[in-house]
Amino acid sequence: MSALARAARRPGLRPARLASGLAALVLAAGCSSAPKSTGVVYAVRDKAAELAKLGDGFMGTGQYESARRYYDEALRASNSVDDLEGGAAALASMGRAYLAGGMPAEARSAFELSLERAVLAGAGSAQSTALAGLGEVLVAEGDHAGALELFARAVALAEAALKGAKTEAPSRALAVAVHDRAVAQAALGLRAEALASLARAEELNLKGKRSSELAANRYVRASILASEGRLEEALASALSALEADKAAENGRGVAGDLGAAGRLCERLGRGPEALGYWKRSLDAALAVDHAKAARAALEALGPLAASLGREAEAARYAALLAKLDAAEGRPAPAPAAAP
Amino acid sequence: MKFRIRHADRIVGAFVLVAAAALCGSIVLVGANQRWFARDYRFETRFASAAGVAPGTAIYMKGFQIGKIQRITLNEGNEVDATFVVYDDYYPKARKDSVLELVTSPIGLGTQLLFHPGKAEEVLAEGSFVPLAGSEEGRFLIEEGLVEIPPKDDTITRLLAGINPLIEDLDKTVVTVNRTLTEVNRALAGQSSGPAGRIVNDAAKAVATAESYVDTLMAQVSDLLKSANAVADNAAAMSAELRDPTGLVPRLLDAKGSVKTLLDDKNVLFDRLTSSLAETEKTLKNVQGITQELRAQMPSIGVAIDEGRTAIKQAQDVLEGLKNNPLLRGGVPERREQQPLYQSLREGEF
Repeated sequence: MSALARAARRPGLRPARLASGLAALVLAAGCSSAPKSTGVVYAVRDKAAELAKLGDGFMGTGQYESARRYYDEALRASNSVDDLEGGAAALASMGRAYLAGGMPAEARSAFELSLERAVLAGAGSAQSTALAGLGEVLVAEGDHAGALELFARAVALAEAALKGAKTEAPSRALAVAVHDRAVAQAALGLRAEALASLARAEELNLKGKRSSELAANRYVRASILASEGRLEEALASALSALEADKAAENGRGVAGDLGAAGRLCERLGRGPEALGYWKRSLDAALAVDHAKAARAALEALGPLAASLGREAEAARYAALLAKLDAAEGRPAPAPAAAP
Repeated sequence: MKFRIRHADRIVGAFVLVAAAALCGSIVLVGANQRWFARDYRFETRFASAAGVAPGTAIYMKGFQIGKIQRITLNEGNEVDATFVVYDDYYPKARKDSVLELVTSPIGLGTQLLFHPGKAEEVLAEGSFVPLAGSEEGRFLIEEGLVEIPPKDDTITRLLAGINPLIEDLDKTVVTVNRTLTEVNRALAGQSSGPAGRIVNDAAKAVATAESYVDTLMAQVSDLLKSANAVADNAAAMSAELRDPTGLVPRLLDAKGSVKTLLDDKNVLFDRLTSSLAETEKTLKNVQGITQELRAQMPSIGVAIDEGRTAIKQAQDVLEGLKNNPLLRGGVPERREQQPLYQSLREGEF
């Protein structure tokens, strides 16, 4: 009998041998799992993906014009190899850039083209994204009923695409469509349905670890709760949105969340706390050049500081607001009438 | 069921001993690789600039690293004194009359420091000064054939190595031509103290003497007035021509005239002009050759750049695979997914 066989018979050594064997198998399996090349070239499509990603970066910092240029380059790259799905994605991103830049007509055109390509490509999640974008254009124009219809179609398409999906795209498209549907529902007074939609979107985003989108879900939920007068719950939701935006380092979102928290504290009668949130909101807005959030903070901070007896601070915020007005070409507010 | 290992203490002890032995062995191996136990021979050299010559820069001889730059300092003359070492394995190859050559790529491919051994039998004494190939001393050694310069590995490297000396040659030739022309101009203007200048001055003095002779002849020999007048007229005409630079220059350059006098300086000026022109012609031929070689090598350069790009791409894939998992479990993805911007609406009133 060999020494190896004798060793195998020892009861104390068998687990160790088993573990070593398993480890070797795992190692071998791991090392041999690198996929073999299919011979297909992806250089242009990879470049398009990189360009689109760069555009997303500009969107995150509010540089919509630059973002559009990158999306346009991504579109050209996709067109050069007839990548319909890539082209649909680039056009959808371009639509969002137009929408964020206050150009709804151009946004609609981009989303329509995106939808056309997505249909040609037979890509459900891309169709869903384009439809959601078109719905967002309607929301911007105040047509919430029309938007809700489009969002419902977007949700259905994304749900269908989610079944057996190998990529994350359908899940992301579904989360956006469900969230947007909640916004339209809330605007139409369907608050319970809106909260249910938001819960679904939140679940999807939690699962996909998409903090920035999660923050958007919580922000809108805070708004719905606030409209129902559930201010404490709304504040808690706004603060959880803040945490998610912080996790994603989404500066523009952070400024908005802090502003929401400040407004809710004001409504709850917690002046000093509100002042703190608004100040933080102003700091964040100035840091990321978010003019809209900075204006909201300054408009709130002046009267709030005055109500707390901080006249010097109030004057400083009023001066800053006047500077912002001047920078944006707005007329200076009329001086308050003497009592 | 309780598992146990017999002789556990002995096994653990054996493992500890093996680990300690392996550690010692590793230290010795690392030390050997780092040349902790080897002797290095120091030498001195001097560079015009420290660009591309940092401490630790490898020195190659025929593709082998035989040493490295150890220390560089800026001396009082604003030149860079460098100390370099040659490893003991290669020290016997460092012979007297060796030179160093710093090859810098003009297209940004970096620098390389090459060691060319001397042909002498005598081994270079430690601490000796090794000149650069581009220095005066180094060029002298190379021109005298005292240095073993191997053929370069490829045409591009050879061309790169030849560009700097060629440019220096061209520069020197241009300076020489400039000086020569300046000398000729100064001579013609009567400002030179050199051979050409002396020729012009002598001519001027000769004219003055001729004039005085004519005056004397006119006063003393009245019966020869007619011929004297003719001589005086000739002298006056000559004087006028000599005073006029536009008249003088054509005469100086006239093959039947004063050029003979010009060449009476034992052909020094003429020889310099001829050698300068010959060198210029040689340089132009070299430049033409380089241009043709580069044109011929353009496809090779293109291929090299393309290969470099492919190599970088492959390296990126490998790194991405490693980043996914130490066991490459995620593999290297064949393509990146292009995603649209997923961004939900942030609508709401508070």
